[in-house]
Amino acid sequence: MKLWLLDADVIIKLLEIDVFDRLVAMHDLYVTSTVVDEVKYYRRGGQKFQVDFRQQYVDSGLMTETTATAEEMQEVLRRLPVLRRQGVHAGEIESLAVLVRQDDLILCTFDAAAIRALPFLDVTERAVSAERLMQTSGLTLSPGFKLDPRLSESYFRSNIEHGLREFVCTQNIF
Amino acid sequence: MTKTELADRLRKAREAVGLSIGEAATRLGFGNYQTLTNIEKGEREVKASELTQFAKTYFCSLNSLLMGEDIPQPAVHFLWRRAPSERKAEIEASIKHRFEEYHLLEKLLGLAEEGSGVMISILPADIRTAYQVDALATKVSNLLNLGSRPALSLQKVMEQMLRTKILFVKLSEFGSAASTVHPEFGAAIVVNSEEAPWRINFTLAHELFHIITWNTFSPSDLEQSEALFKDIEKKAERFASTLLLPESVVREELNARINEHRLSFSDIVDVARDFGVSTQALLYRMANMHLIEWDKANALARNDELMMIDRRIRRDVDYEAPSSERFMLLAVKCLRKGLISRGKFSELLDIDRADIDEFLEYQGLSEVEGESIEIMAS
Repeated sequence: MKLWLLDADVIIKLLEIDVFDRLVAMHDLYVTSTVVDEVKYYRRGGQKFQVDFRQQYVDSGLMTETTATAEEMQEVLRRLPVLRRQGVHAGEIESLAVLVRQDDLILCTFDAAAIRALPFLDVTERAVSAERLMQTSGLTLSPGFKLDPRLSESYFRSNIEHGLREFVCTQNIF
Repeated sequence: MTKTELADRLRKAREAVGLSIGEAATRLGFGNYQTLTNIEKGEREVKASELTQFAKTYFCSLNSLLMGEDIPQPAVHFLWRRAPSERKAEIEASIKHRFEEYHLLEKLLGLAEEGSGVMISILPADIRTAYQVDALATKVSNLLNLGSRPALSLQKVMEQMLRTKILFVKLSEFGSAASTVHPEFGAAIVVNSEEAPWRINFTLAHELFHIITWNTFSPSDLEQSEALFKDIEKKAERFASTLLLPESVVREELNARINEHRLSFSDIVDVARDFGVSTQALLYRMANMHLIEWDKANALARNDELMMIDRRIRRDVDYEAPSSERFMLLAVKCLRKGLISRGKFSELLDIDRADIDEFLEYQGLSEVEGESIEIMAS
């Protein structure tokens, strides 16, 4: 059974398109401490809803909270190009650090900067798009919802390719 | 990185913003100061979520705390209209951090090396008299193509052409603005976001004078000599007035309204509004253009009836919070190009993660780059 690690934007987006609770019921989902603190609201039907993520999903045992050490986060930063280090937020760095440490996890994200960082950490194969996660889970969108292009597999793949090109360039392979 | 190394960086970061252990512990949300003391001694592990809080509280990047490799930068010397009487180190650290983040966006987009500043060399003798200051303002206005209503384009021109970093921050207790010219991130101005738009225009013009003359009078000289500081402040006011209210067009607008050598209060407010300045600024400009006596200008600036008309006429002005358009556009561009993450974007623009898409839509912007088209060789 696959264990999924979700980043903040994916959680917010899946809450927004009303598939998150179905996903929670199907899988063992992991989330980092920083991400737990970041998910505070989601929007649906033009309205903004508050969510006590920790209470509703972590304390209730529906999801597992995990955390990275300062050393693990430092290791992620060390492997990224200098400027890219400064463009990635703590939440994404912690998720990446946990992904590097725990090789039974698969990260689901649609953050372009985080996806492009994957090749630098040698974990490209352990991350997926939200579309793929939904397909794997047999989930379809509720009537009236359209898939955001950023959640698509093609958006994910194009960012992976971008990250790989960048990685190759920084390694001076050619 | 050992626990002691991180502990040492955390202590130094706290000291740099002038916070005591107790103050810092409270802001970090620790139940007692002992927890922070233990962290700073390297006796307690720091959690990832706590590190985020440390970076926020100490106005530094996570990168600098974890890697400790931030290039040592020359100290930032802010020239304040009125320097903060309390928490100066903390306020300046917070502003400096925001300018560093602004500069990071430029570096990520490869714009950091682009030219900045007005290339005018000014000697103290060049701005000895008020007329020389007027001449400088006219020269700058022409160089920047500010046109007949400079206030309408000044912020944009300063941001886009001069690469001046302008940030709007609530500064209520600390005067209206501060400026600096930093060897690393260039010319930068922080403006009180609570000011009325017409006052912000004047502040920008005032601070532009300080930026242009940054190398003419050293900021430390200005801080040491009250007389020199007062003289330069007066000149900055004169410069701003002449820059925003060009004599010939102001005369033209006033003449069109003068009837039998008289000008109504409403007309004065209308002209001030048209030029994007306060009514007081127009009155003083009229005095230095010898249209009214200085005593008269002073009296009118405090006249209740005139001020009431001013408030009534300007009531309809849209008071949308000012923002740095360039900073926002650079952040969006970085997000679109995958150079910054969405978490970083929400942190930079101080918006909730759930609001990013709505924010972009409201600003008429998009996170997705879209298809690219081939351009023929020219």
